[in-house]
Amino acid sequence: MPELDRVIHEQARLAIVTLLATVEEADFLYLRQATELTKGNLSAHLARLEAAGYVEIEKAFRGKIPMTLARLTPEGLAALKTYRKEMTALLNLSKNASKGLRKRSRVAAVRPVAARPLAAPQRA
Amino acid sequence: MSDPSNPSNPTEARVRALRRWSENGLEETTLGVLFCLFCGIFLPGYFLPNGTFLGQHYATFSPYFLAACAVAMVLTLKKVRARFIYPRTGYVVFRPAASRIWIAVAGQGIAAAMALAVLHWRSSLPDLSRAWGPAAGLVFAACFFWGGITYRLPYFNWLAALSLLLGAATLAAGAGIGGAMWVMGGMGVTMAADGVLRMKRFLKRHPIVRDGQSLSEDHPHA
Repeated sequence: MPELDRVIHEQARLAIVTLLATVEEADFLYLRQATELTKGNLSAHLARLEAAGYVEIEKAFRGKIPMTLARLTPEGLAALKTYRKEMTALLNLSKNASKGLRKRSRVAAVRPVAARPLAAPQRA
Repeated sequence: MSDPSNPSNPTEARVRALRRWSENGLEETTLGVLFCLFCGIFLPGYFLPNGTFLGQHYATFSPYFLAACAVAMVLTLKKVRARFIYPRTGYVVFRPAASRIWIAVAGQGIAAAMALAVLHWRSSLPDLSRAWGPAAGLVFAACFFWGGITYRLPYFNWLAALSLLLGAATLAAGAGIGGAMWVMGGMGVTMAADGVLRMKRFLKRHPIVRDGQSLSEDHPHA
């Protein structure tokens, strides 16, 4: 049974990492609007991802406007790929299990009918 | 999060992000203006008399003029983005999609193969000048259909239909090589107008976010 990466497995962090995987870099405002997280939530999740080494945070200025840029590190990208692989394996496992369950229940539904004895001829 | 349907699929996330990004109409306006410039710079070359100095040398200078216009447009685009788009939707740089690179390489390969084929068989080929307009319309339509399906932008289908219509119109009008320029010009005007309308709507709907980048003790990344 594969063990999922807890840092990425959380829904909000998964959304952040997935978004960052599709871009070179994005600022805090873009991430906030794309994930629809609150400022505090996004900040906390980014801090967790930064601590895990999955995201790189850089404070920069664009003209006079300060901006917080976030980038996915190679470790972050590798972690996302591994997570996807493990999640897919788990989903396939559950798919196969449910297929087997359905097959067994079909067999169980058919068996009593086949085993039923023939009705006795009715007397006139 | 309103749409947590498939957050772990990077392709889906990219499509969603690009759709969101194309809401502002800036890319469409830029492409439209570029097509108009292309048409406006190259089309006069077909009407200039051959004997004059301008008629002889126009084709030599026009690509440089177009390149200068394109550089000026890129610089303007950067400023417009920084002033109107980033304060509203945030700053983002997308990764070039692998499919885009593959399509560009394939397109260049096909174009080179076609050019070589025309050069090799040009003496035996019939007059293809009338086919330039419809061919340009077809290429535009294919690109718009592809974009519409990939990024799920239904209005791209209308643009594809319009480019086919323009291609057919140039064929009916008997436009020669200039037919491709007319198709390009028509598409450019339509896209620029549509892009400007889209941008106007975008600016109205998305106010500037003032606190998006403010730094505070509680939220060190905000």
